[in-house]
Amino acid sequence: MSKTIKCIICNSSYHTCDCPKDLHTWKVLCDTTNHYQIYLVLSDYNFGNITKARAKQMLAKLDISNYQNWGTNASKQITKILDDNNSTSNKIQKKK
Amino acid sequence: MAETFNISELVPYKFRSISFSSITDGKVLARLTQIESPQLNTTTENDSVVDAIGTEIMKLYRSKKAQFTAQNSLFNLDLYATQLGTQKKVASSASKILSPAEERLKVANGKVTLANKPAGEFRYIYLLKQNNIYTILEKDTTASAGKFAINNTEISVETASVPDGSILWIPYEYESENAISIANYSDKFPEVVSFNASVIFKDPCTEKDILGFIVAKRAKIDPSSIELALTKDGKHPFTIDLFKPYCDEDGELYKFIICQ
Repeated sequence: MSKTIKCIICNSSYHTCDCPKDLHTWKVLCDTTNHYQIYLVLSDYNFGNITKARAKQMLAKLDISNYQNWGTNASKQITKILDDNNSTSNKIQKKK
Repeated sequence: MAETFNISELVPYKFRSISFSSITDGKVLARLTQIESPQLNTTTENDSVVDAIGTEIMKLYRSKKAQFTAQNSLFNLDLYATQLGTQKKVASSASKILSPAEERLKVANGKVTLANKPAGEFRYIYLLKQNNIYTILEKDTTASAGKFAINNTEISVETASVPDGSILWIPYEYESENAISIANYSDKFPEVVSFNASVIFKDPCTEKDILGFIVAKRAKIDPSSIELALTKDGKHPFTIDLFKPYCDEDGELYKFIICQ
């Protein structure tokens, strides 16, 4: 069934469908595979699975243009990762 | 010389089992052992022959049909799959079944842990209050007001809006290797099977058990109406039409075999 939902990364509305759920599971959360990859990076960073430096490195390979205008938690997290002076630290964050 | 076994009157006692087998490879598709209300019906159409003033002088019979109906005391998954014209899928470690799950978990230290790793993505979880859905929490990269984050099976929530002790209701799907599934497809119908009923009769004089069989080489479960009362005392009814094998010169619909 077709439905309109918002991307948890960029807040844009998009259409999705339950039918190909097995193949397009990312569409449950995001409007594009690029944004889903950003979700995975930020989620891994949040849970301390990757370092800030690694997250920054991975984000550099993804399209994060206009992230300042997204107005989502993802946008705030990207700002924090990119602006942080200690972003080169290799220390894995402790799990909360 | 031994006395010939030739008996005419029997007391039907109970059905030991009914089985449906594939006519292609003989494999049993379903076996039922809790049979209630068995009924074997045979009908025949007739044409009346009348004389000049309309008096019936003869009846000519044709189109003999046979049908067996009964109900299994328990809901039988193999019977249900046969009725739907599909196959029962049994999960294994190599072939898992995507299964729905729902959990009610109490928040402790801003976290809850699911029993299974969710397959794919899910977007919403629900905060319950007095067993009703009070707030919907949406997945995000971090836990915040109205948002939750998930790492493998661990879900984090913001403790200000979802304090410890809150109950979360989490519906999701996971891949199970201990599951069975039967799907009803709109374009699949029952296949032709052979029918075998094993019946125990009693000798009216000695009350000795006498085993009987009803055998039909060609039969098909009637899918036109499958009504299941999914209650603890609900039964699993079924109807099966018995046909003559197309190539059979004798036109045998079914036969009874009684063994001493």
